[in-house]
Amino acid sequence: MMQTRRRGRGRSSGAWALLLLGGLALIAADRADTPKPPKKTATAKDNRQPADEESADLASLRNDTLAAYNDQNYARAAATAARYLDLARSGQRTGREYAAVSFILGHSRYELHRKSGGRYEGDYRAEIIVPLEDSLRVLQDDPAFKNMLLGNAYHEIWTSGGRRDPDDEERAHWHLLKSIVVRESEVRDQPRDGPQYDLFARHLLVYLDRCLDLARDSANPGVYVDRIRSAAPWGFATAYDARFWQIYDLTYFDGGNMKAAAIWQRGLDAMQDPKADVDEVLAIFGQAADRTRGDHERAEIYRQMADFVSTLDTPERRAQTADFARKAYTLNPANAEIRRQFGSALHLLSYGAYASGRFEEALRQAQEATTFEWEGMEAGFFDLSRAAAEMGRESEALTHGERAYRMAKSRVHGPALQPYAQNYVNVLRQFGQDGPATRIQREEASLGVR
Amino acid sequence: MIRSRRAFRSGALALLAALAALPAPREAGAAETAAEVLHSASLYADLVRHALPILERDPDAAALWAILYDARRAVAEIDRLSASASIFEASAHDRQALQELAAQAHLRLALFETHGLEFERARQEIARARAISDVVERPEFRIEWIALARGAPGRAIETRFQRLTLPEFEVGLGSIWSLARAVPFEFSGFRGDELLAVDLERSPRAAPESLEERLLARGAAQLREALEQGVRKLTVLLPPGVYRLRGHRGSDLDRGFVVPEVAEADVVVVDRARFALRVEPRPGPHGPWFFLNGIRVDDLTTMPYGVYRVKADEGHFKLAPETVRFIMGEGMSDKTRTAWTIYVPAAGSTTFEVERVPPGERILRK
Repeated sequence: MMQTRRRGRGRSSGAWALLLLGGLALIAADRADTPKPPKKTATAKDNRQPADEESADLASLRNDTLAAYNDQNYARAAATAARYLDLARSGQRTGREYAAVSFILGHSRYELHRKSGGRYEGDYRAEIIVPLEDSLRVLQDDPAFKNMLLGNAYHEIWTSGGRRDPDDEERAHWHLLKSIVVRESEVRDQPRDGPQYDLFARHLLVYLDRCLDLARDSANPGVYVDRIRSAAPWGFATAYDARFWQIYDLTYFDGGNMKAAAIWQRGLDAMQDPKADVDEVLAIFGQAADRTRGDHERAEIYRQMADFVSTLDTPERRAQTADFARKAYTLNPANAEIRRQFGSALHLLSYGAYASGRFEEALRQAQEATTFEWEGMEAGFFDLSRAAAEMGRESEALTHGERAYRMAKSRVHGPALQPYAQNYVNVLRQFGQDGPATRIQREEASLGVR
Repeated sequence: MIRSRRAFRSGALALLAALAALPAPREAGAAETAAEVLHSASLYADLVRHALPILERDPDAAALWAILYDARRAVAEIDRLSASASIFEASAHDRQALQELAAQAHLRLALFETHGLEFERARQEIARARAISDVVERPEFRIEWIALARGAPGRAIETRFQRLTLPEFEVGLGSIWSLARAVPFEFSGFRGDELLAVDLERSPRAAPESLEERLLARGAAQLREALEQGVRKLTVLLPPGVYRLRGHRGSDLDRGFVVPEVAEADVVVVDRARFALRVEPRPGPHGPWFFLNGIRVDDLTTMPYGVYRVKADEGHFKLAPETVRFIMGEGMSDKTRTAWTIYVPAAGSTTFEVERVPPGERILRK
């Protein structure tokens, strides 16, 4: 995000710097006619430059700072800005020029730290936030960008401080919100499907994502319910309408349990990332489930965990799928989708056990899968029949084989029915029931039943 | 709430797209016309208004602090925009609209301040609203008192407001303000570490999560904070009740006081020093009796310094004062009809003398 933003900022800050330089030139011209302050005598102990030399140094440092900043050479910009400010302070200079360089100092250090990553070596608040805030008190141009920057800086310090300080959290939120409010004012007359509003909508998504991030560790996650509900509608009817509604709807999750909702959403987003570690994604979902109070909402999280793991077709993941599905079923057995998922997961486990010759295990899984109604339940009876047949349990094999076949016949047609018919014929033959077997075989000859 | 994975995928892609490109839409960013100023102010006003429903969800102190943080800043932005209206040559109509908006925002902030137990700030916000626009005084003016929001996933929020006139609004807030009384404290004679260990107990105990409990917690926190900062004269808002201020185990810091429901609370003097009081005539069935911060003091040989309420049968004693303040040190006593100030050296003694009504006079009165 910030890489691209920085590039964009580079262009706009170039124009901004030109304006500033123009302004400074005017100020310099203005001062040309004013009497110069009396010169001070430099001594060995007091190594201060005479005032005009000091001004020249300041002007040179200022120009170097601006040039480096416009070139996005943040290391040089930060160094020269710091020297400028030291010199200006020693001369007790303040004002707009000082504020402008102060902003460059804070922003350049911010960018340097962002690029290097890791922990900030130094006092982040004193060296980045304070210069930005000092500048903003004097120079309030481009408030959207400056407030966004401050919001990000406060978010950084909140995060590096263990995501606990409520004051930093509020500032991180407020400055970003203010930048959004300013941007909304700029696009208020624009069509929602236009390019300018589109850009605003993307900024708004960043704000809402930040709200979710803050809510995850906030001591006051509930306040984000109203914050999100206030802002999300600005993004409706844009190209990202679905995402805005998704975040808006999140505020109703688990009776407004915003912490759980935010963690859940993080899991959902991580789920879409192909590079994400599966166990890490599951751990996030697990946290969300632990934080969720309502049974149905927790069931939904477990359902999604099962759904996610079911796509990874390995024996361990199949067992995990069934575990999550079982948790979902325990919490909300009335939900048809949850029942279907749990039944399917047990079917897969039973199928795998049967294929490995572990018939008792296959039978056990199948028995569990037939203790409740679910769409596709015939597969459970099919598993039960096959496993029972392998174990010589005639009555169960025949009864469940017939039930699976009859049930499948009422629900599925064509090739999907073939395994059920074939299994029934097989168990009939296995237990000496050739007559009925031949009849079924004849009835379903078109399916390829042998 | 079952959500399809496809929706999540498209949502996540949208977010990635948002994170990938964030150039500033335009350079200026600040409001540039009167209409923009009005629009920006209305956005901030909406932020405050949209936060009102949270008050109906019994927010805890921390949540209220967070709401207040936003509300104060939003109202400050409205004020800033209002102040700049003249720069943009706003029409009289726009200026009035801005003023109304600002006044309403200050009143909503007063509601938040009140819930945040910042009663003095709430009063100031109301005064500020009045100063900004006289519209708030009109009989037809209404301001939100209760906001009930109802919504569901996929549906817009429906918010119902109970709106009051300004006098009704003030009465409503006043009923909350009156739940706490300003209690002045004066500490002396105890070391800093002894004062830092003080514990404030109230009887009866406040119900969990009740306004009383929050007021008590806040008062105790204010007291502790002030003592930590070395402040020895302070005023704390406390709900009515019987209190006990105690030091650590074994400490002689133990001071009871009552916060009355209706009257103003007397200053609570917390001092290790004691003095002896001789009362002429000696206290009998008709008094005089001495009450220190609402608690009767019977042992007159070790009296704490402070403000005492004097109760005496008017039929038996002439011109007994209503209050006597005993101050440690040397000084000229000051006696008005109802209030006396008496200086008593540390560990010293003094005499409290009231004139007895002659028996004959009492008989004649009857």
